[in-house]
Amino acid sequence: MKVMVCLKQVPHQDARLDVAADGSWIQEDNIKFEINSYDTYALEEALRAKDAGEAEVVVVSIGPDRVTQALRTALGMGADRAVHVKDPEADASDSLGKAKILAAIAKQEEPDVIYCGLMADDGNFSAIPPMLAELAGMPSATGVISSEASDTSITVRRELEGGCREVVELPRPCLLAIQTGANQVRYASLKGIMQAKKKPVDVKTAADLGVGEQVGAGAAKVKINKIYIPPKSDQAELLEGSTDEIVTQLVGKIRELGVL
Amino acid sequence: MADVDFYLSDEQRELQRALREFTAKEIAPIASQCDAEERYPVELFPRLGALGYLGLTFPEEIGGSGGSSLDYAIACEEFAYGSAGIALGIYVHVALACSALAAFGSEDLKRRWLPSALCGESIGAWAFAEAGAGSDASAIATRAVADGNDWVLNGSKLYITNAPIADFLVVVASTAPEQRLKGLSLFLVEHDRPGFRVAGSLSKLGVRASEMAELVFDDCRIPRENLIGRENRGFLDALRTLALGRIASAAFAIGVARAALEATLVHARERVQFGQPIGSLQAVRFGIADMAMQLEAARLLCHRAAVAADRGLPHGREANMAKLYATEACTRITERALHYHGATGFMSESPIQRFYRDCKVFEFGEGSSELQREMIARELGL
Ligand SMILES: Cc1cc2nc3c(=O)[nH]c(=O)nc-3n(C[C@H](O)[C@H](O)[C@H](O)COP(=O)(O)OP(=O)(O)OC[C@H]3O[C@@H](n4cnc5c(N)ncnc54)[C@H](O)[C@@H]3O)c2cc1C
Repeated sequence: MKVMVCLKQVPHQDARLDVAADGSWIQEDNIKFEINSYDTYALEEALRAKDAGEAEVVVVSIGPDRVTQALRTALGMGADRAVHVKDPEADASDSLGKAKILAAIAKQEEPDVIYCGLMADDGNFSAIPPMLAELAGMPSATGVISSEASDTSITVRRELEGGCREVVELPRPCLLAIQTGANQVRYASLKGIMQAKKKPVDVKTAADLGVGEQVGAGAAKVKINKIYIPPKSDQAELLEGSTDEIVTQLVGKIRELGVL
Repeated sequence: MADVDFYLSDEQRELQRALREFTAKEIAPIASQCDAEERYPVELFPRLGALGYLGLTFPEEIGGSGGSSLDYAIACEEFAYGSAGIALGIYVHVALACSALAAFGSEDLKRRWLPSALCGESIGAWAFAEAGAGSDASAIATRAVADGNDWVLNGSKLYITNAPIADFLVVVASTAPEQRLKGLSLFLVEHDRPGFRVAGSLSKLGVRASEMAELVFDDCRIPRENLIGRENRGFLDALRTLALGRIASAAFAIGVARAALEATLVHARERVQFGQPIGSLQAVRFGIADMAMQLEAARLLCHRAAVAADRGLPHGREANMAKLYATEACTRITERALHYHGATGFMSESPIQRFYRDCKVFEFGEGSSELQREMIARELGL
């Protein structure tokens, strides 16, 4: 079996985010990055498939130089090899453009299963997994919290609203978009970290993958106009005075609203 | 802010990242509770062992990873960032007990103890200090006398970290009292030997997640093969490997200081007094700038000593300076952290007061500041 894991590197959850001067994105200089949290669960699910039987795990990421580190982390955790699409045009693509690049890799790799994170911590689009499944002609399931492979199919549990679970069976090849908390993500072992250096990282451009024309800022149908921090709402009322005065006012407000 | 860590290899960066993740998820969340309960989370040992972190600095032939001193400094900083007490328990096991065994133990002793020790399935302790012997090793009074196929140990040890949880202890005892320092040998004592017992646990100000006790040897018989290294020279031989201990002490101090600085930065941005975050007040800003500068200076000294050790260069003075500067800087940094936190930091549930309590031990353990200054002065030709 071969599995492909799509992972994105996103700003570290502890990073202080400032909007870039031109408002196009956040200021990326001097902040730390990490693997998108959803993707770490996807990677873990893929590595479990590998632990359970024979599987080659190929991790794929689109992004600038810094992405090498995310791929190295994944290799240290146990992935077998990596494909790094390093191409400014690829970076400038919208979700569909990126899905086309990933689909081109899927066409070359012919994986039995593609694991994605349900969404990216930074962009929050949740768009690429279903787009990629469609372009690759694969059935897909989102919100997956566990998966179990048989010879021809995969049975997954999905998380629904209100704590409900759904069991779905998909024929292989297929794509699974993994929910956070699906499993306990492993730590890289020291041995894994040392071995990662010897594992191959294939660096490619969109043109290498034959989709150079279809991607990039020019081909993007969705364009980000600006990123901004919403102004503070004036609907908040600040209560002032000593603690006792504030409490008295607060109780008055709650009474006014009739919730007490 | 991104680290200016140009001298780290990709693997070292990755090691640092993996350890940060492990510490954030497995160590930091239990640090305050272990501190309050004076309890060591022994369940961490097999987990660290399985990931290979206990074997970091050991040769590959004996199940280690052949890591460098710099790798080790990185690891010590990260563990101590989460909990100095938990880091200390790992340190005593790895850097003192297992190191002595790996460097000087017989093949048989190594085969019997090292594989399980590096997997974290057995825990080691290092028993050197006594009521009358702290900085002055030559005052060690615990005696080991050869008798037939045995050694017979008598005496007691004080302040022994990991004693309550240890499966084996590396014990420093005198085999030739008249030769003082040149009559000290190392022995492996299994925790269940008749005549050996762990007396009352000791409660302490800081590094409370580590467990400590007193040891008593009362005609404790161990086989002759349990001698580690050369008779009468074992301890001096072991001392020579202690440069790594100084690098580790420095790295522990750096880890605690980093935790204190990071918390202070958050607090200084969030705490508003006189209508502005206290981090906008010049007095506080300058103080925090000094904390950050001292932390980075300490780390550079520590990593310099580690790199020198890894390149086979002389590094005694470098290790002394790193240990001295880092541990004293850490005390200053955690003191400022507590000061800028005010009452919030002083409360029992705050980690800030723990940082303040935890760091002091590093100044007198592994050779007190005075001994470090003395050695540096001697190296300078005075
Ligand atoms: C938390 C903790 C864990 C420990 N764990 C272990 C362990 O696992 N195994 C173990 O064997 N021991 C352990 N110890 C004990 C440790 O080895 C001793 O604390 C250390 O050797 C210093 O000895 P001392 O504390 O008796 O201080 P002393 O030797 O009494 O020194 C006290 C002070 O006297 C001054 N001083 C002493 N000698 C000189 C000198 N020559 N010149 C100038 N000034 C001097 C210094 O200011 C020094 O700080 C631990 C101690 C602590 C606090």
